[in-house]
Amino acid sequence: MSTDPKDIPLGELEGQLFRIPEEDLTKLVAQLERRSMDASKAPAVAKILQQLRPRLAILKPQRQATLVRFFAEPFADLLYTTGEPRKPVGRIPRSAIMPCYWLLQRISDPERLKRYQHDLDAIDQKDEEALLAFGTGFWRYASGQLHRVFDEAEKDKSAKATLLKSLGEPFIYAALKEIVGVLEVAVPVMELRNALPTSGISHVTNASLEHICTALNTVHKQRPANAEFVVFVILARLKNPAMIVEIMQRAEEAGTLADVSAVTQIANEAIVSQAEAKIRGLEEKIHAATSGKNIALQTEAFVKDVLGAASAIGTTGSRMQSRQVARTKTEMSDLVRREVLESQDSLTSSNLASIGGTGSTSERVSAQKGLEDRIVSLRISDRFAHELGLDRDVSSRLAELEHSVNEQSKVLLAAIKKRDSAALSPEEAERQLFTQIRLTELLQGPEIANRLRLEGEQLLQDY
Amino acid sequence: MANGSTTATHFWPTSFKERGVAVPFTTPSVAMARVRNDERGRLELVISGLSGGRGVYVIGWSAVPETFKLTVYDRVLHEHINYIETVSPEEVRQAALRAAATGLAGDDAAEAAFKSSTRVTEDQIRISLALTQHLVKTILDVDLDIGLAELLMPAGQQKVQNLLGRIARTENIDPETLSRVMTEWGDLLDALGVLEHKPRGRFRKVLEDAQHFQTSYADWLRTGELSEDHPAMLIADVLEETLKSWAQAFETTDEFAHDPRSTIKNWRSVKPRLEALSIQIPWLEDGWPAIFSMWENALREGHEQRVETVATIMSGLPLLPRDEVAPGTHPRWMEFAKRLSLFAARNEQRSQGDINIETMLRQEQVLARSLG
Repeated sequence: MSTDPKDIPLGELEGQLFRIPEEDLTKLVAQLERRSMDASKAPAVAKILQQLRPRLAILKPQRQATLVRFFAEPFADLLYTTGEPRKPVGRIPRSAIMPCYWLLQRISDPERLKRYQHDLDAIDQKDEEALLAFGTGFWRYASGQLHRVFDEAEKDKSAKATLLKSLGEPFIYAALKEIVGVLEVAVPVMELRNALPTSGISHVTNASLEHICTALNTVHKQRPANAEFVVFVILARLKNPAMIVEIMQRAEEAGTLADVSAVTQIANEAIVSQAEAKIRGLEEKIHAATSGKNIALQTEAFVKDVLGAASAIGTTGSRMQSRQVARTKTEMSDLVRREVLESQDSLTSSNLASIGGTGSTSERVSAQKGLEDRIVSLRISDRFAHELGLDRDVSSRLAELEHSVNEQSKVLLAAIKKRDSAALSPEEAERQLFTQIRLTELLQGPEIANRLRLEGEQLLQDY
Repeated sequence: MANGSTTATHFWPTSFKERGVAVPFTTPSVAMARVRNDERGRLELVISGLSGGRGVYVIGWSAVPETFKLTVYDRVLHEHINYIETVSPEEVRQAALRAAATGLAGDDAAEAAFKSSTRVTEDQIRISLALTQHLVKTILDVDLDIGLAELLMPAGQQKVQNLLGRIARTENIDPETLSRVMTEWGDLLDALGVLEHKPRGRFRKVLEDAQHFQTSYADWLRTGELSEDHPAMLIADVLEETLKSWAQAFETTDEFAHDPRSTIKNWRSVKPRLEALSIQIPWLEDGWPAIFSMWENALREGHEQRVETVATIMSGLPLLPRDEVAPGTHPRWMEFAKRLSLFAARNEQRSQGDINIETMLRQEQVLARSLG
């Protein structure tokens, strides 16, 4: 396997992803990371890395010990990938890393950065203690440099305009503010990141709570205003954002020095903002998805997140925040009705007409696949339809499909009974019968489908 | 009939016959279940981890559709298996191919069944050709450079016959005897493949899948954030030990190809040994292709799905039977059985309720992959 990314067509990566030897993958990632330092190549490299991400999540190969990687490490949990030019509170777009790092390069002493890279190269990448000791100096320097430029921009309009121009997009300017905020408290944040489970936390143990309190207390002593970044990291690792309320209450009971009420309010703000961003993320995913089933599954996950947000806000949030979440739910409902349900109606009708028709085999196979996908997506949507007030939209479509498939089955059985092999060959009758059984099973379950099979097979015996 | 004992011996069968053959069901509640002949020859289902139970369950085959809510594909598969008199991996595979070809387990499984059925003949010819090429190279030091299309033409066949004639003369063997030996030898290797030649042979390809599984599974164990007492490591340990038996079986098979002169001359004694290997290897590998397919799917899913897949695999992890492993390794296998029984006791995960559509579709993908 070639290690030159130019030689790997993106389309083939999906199939080969888990078969690329570890050594080759490590080399490939290293090469890509080096290329990403070139601004013109960075977007293409980001696209390839995005495709490699499922494997990297499992393999976690030795990454290049570059300063830019180390620069981004404290806010790695907050990173997200999107083309949306707005950013939610408490999240940082991946596309902001390089512009902010290039800014740091421009405003820093080049010799000093060289020394940092040299020192980083000398550290064993498994030696967490040494890395943290190195980071203490580097992150302090980086945040100091960036803070200075940011402060100037906040005070001077022309400086802000120059900075905005150099960063490229206004949302990167907003990201820069949060990057500086995290870097200022990078050491306690990194200690917390190393102590917590990496993702999907569904229960916070006493040990984890202790680490959270330690991080909150350290940050409170150093920079009380930056406590929100500790909360953002915790939020990013929670399975359900609503848990943050209970965690903060437990932290308060455990005697944390941080202002729990203020921190919870910021957490609520982040939850609302991130829930709003999810709508945009969902829209992107719907447009990029290759099957209705995947869309329904992704929507279900988003609905769970938004419900979690509603639950969190319902306990400690303001009325305005509750209204914002309610509006998000309505927007999500509209989006699902429009993009998931209505947009597929006409295709479903034409697929229904095609499966028993006289089209080519490939057309019939494609129509059947389309119908199966539609049924599965509706059955999955049925699980969350109530939460979005879409129960009737989903159930009526399922009922219509059920009716159509039952009618088609009746017509088919009647045709088989006629035993007119000139009109319907035995092979075609059998094919159509199995198609109807399959659709009936997905719609109405195996018992009813099996009754259809037995009846159809009985009739076919005499054909 | 239920056997609720949790003793490790129930998880360590004495023979392949007792272990039974993995049935590629798509109903999640019977995933990884096995079918075997009972003492009187009747079929029965062997399944572990039933809800409420703590051991290995044995259910009469005819009672399976009443005991579990099966998908339609599984009902058809159940009917096909019902016709089998003596259970073997090949018989169950043929039943699965026939059932999958209906399309009741989805179009991917139907396509895989169709491709698999049509590929067999071509693979048989190619593997026979590979064996001939190997023989010609080893004995005459001649490269028999011929494709499938040319082989099917009279000129191509004449070319092969001439070379085999030369071998017969060189080795002083009756040409007809040589031709018969080559046919029988080729037939015995049709799913095992010939050394480094392509196609690899269905069972040799499983070895490659095993190596890929080992690598990706080890990656995940290293970074999967599993609790210290998680039993996932057992799968890797059992496969590692099982692979030794696979490797040994293939080495023995290949030894005959390494020394084709001796194999041809002693064909009367070699043939029964190769026949035994061609029966043994499918039993050795039985159950693993589905495991590799499940894992391949799980790799593309989230962490929770991978943990769930591990639990499913564990519910039917195929331990090599006592009679099939060297006595020196018995303590190791007994330890595996103990670990498996402990896991089964605390992981009663099977539900006999409604079929979860996503899990069913996932099982169909596994079926399609494992038939391919």
